[in-house]
Amino acid sequence: MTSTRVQLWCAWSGPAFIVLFFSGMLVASLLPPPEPDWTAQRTAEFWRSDPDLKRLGLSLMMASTTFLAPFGVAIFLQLRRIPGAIAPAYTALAGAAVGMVAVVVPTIMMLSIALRPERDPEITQALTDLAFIPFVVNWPPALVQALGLGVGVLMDRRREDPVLPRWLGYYALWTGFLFLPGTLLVFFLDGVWAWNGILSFWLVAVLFGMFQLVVFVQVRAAILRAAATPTPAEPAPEAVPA
Amino acid sequence: MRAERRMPGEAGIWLFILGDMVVFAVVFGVLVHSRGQDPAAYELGQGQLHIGLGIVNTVLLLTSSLLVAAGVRASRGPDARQARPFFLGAIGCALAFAALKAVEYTDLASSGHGPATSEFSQLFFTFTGLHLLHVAIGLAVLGGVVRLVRRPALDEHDAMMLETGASYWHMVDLLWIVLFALLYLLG
Repeated sequence: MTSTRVQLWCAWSGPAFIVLFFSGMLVASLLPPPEPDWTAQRTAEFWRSDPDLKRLGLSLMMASTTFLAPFGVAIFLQLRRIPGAIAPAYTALAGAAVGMVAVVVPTIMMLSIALRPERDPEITQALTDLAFIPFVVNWPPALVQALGLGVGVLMDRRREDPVLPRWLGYYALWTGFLFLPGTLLVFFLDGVWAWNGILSFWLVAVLFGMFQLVVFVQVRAAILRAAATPTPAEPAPEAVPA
Repeated sequence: MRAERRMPGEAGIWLFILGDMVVFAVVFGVLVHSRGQDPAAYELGQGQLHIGLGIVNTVLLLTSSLLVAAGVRASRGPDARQARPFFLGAIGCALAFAALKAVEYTDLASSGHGPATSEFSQLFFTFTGLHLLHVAIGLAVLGGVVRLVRRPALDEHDAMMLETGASYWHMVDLLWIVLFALLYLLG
């Protein structure tokens, strides 16, 4: 069925985003990222080394965000099939849309840094702060999408054949809440909560990547299950046996 | 059917609980590492804490866990509504815990030991703060559990949600016990 094939393409956008985004970060040598407690001079030197690779890597990161929109739609379409879950489905869609912006904007700021790395180091340092704080602290759209997904999935009370497995709902809520403490990075220039810290950066990077891949696998399976069902009749919410 | 099930609550909540424990394992690792780097500084920071408040808070959370366990048992009895006072008591303990934390934070900050004064205080404030966020979510969860036991009999779904909420609360308690040991006691 054509619709199924297009939806599968949308679902595959999830892993496509992850691969392209993290490749871009590697090419731009942002893994590990520049450190918030570097001097202005040291920060400027970071941006002055391999400037073309940085521009290329950042361009890849920017390009990767285009996949976030179709991936968000693939998630939305499955959530919408859950009886009564219209509101969380649209909430997740809104989160996905804004999530794209949340990655694009700091990436553009970094591209601006990379355009003229020879400028006054103090300015480069200020721009680095301006880019990295939103880059690492952009939890609101991710949390909104995770909550929409989590609540929507948990609204599916059917034991047999839920649209998405219930554990995915708890997993989404857990991941969403773990994005929150990243806010602490505005208080610290070094340590575990700084923007390059193990808890603010590395843990969230791993969880975020893992989340996209797990959601992809489950959404893909849900699309295939729906395609295998001959009549996509709206399943009535069954009475749970007492 | 109920007798066959070994795992309390929904299977999914255990993903949440085990995942959270992995994250807190990182937190605990950071604490142990920080102490290993500079034991004297760690001890100095520890000396500024009020161990009495820590102990009272530990007792409060242990009591709340006991009440939650008693509540789960009562909810399976002839009248599930009898579980209500237990869960309300657990909420009371959790609120007292949060209030004492506020007293402790205010006292530390006003006596010049705020979050930015040393590495220990940075870790103390952020890690206990992260735990307090869990308590806040737990309060909402316990509130939901109280709503579940409004009726004399629970259906299977509600009984499972009740166990799910209770399991989450026990995790909040367990994480605090380790955090308390590492922050207040590790010498």
